[in-house]
Amino acid sequence: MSESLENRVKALIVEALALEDVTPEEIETDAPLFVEGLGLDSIDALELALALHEEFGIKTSPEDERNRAIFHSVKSLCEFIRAEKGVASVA
Amino acid sequence: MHHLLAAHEADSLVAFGPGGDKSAADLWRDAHIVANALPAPSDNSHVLMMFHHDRYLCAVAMLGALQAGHAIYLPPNLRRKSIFLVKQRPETVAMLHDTDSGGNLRVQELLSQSAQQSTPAYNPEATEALSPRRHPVTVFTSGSSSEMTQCPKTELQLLEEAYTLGEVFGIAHGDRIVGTVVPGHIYGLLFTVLLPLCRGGAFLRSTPLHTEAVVNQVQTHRASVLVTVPAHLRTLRAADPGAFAAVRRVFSSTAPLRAELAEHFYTQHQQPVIEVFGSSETGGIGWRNRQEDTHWRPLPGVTLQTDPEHRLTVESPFVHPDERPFRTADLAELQKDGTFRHLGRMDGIVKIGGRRVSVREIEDHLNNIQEVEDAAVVAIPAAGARGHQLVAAVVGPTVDLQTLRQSLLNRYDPSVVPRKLQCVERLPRERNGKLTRERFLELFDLDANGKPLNWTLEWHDAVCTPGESGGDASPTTWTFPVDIPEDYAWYRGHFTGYPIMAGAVQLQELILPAITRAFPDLHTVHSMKRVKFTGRIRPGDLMTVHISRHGDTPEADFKIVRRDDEKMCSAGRIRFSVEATS
Repeated sequence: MSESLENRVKALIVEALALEDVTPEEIETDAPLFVEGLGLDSIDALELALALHEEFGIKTSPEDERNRAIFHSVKSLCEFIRAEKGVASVA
Repeated sequence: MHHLLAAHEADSLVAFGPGGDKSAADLWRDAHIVANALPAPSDNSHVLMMFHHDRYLCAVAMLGALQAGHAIYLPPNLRRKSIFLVKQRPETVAMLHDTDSGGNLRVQELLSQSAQQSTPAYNPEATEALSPRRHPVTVFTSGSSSEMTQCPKTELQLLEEAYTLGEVFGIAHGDRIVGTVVPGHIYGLLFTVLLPLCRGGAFLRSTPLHTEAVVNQVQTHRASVLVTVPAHLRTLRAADPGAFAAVRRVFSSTAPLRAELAEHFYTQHQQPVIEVFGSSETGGIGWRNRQEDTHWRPLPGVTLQTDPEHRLTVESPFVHPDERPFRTADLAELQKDGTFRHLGRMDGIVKIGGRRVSVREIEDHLNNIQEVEDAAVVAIPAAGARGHQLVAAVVGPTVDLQTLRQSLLNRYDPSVVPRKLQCVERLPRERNGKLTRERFLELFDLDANGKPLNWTLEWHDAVCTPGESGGDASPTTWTFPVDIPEDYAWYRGHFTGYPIMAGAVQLQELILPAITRAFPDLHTVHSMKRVKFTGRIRPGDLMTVHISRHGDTPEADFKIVRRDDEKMCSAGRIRFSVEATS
């Protein structure tokens, strides 16, 4: 069974940000990633962007306003990835 | 502060980007509008700057407040707590900002409601006396504390430095500066506001963060200068090669820049990164071109000295006149040719994501919490932009880790709050109360460098040769190839400089597991015979454990032999208790 994109992104978050006390399963798809929720900071945002680039080849938006929306939650990240890559290639 | 605009003609560009281009005349007019909206100045009156979005509006606010006769506070970050603390001060008479909430004086509104105010014609000649205020601008250290260290600056300190930077790096009229750093921090203030203004250049109004946004702004506006930090250079690795090829100068500061990052940037964009070393207290101290220099060069006007412990003292026009020479907490080695090497810091301050963090302070904070009986915090290296992360352990039967974490978050930036926070029965202090880094990190199963301890041997496929029964009975033999990792944790302290795998470790980790694997019924040791440890097993050695047993006897022989030269290191016989079968 292929892994859902949501699970892949959650695993990526835990790995790229070296979160030791959180497992991918514990990350809620809809919960905010920054400030509240997981409580990630701006350094994490950049590290995550780099990891997404390396894993999925995607680039962040040329507008930071847009990026804040994209990185809001796992759900918004996945929507962005799917839109960028085309649904078929990422499941 | 109108000296800042002296290099600009009225229609000369000072700002570009989201919100539109602005000229020096615009800045002049808008600053006057803001000045008119402020209360009258008094003895120590300060205006607080809180600008999240727009560097132009920040500059308008700064010049406006100064024009009105006030001094200004530039908070170290935009966290509610920091802003609140500065706003609370009795001498803070107003706050200028560009946020959506925040009440008080929102600069966009002041400017749009200005109707037909008459402002003096554009005339920034340096006939203006220097600001009557001793300290027109106060910045704060980018510290982790709510007791922020304030750094009052004289007008001369800032102007001299901005001008010198422009001279040294050849930044002048026509240069377009993009910064990924906020204008409230000394680095951003100098490089992205004061420098372009006083040298006739212009700055980008926004502060892009993500890679594509940075590339987009640099390319759209044909930026000639990029002012950034190592954390951002790291993520800019995702930018297309050549994205920054048209930039003339790329600056990095606030944290050490790894050689690989500088190299990668150069390879991708043919741009040498210019690293700048300084601090909120001292202003700029030195710089180096990562492609050409190994050592740091002092900025013009900067004189350096070191004491026998290598502690660096700085004398320069960028340091406050009352604090010269300034004794830093940095360690350096001066070279004969006037350059210097940076040897680190002496005060337990590390940088996390470019922010200065006092490890001791976090520890004190924890110790001051009622339920905490003892606490220790240590910094370990962390990958990527972070640089370091903090590891903390507390002692206290009624301690609730969530509460502790929240207490830290209330006061410090999230990136500074220890990522690993554990409650323990007691801290492994020595008799004299001292706690060594090594013993502390053991609590987290980490070595002195913060790397996880390696307790795992590398076993390879075992081979079994069954024995034959009968007269010429031969034993069943098993061979287990096993590699000893270089960083095998059992060697720690045993002994420093001369690692030996202790016999007890060999038994526990090599011999008994092999025997039990070969013969599952042999697991409870009864006694040992003729066990000898004759040869040293060292980290990195490739060994083979040989086990043999005759038939059903409750005894097994072992030999541990080094694979390459067949040296026998250990041998013996172990007798096991065999359970009576029913």
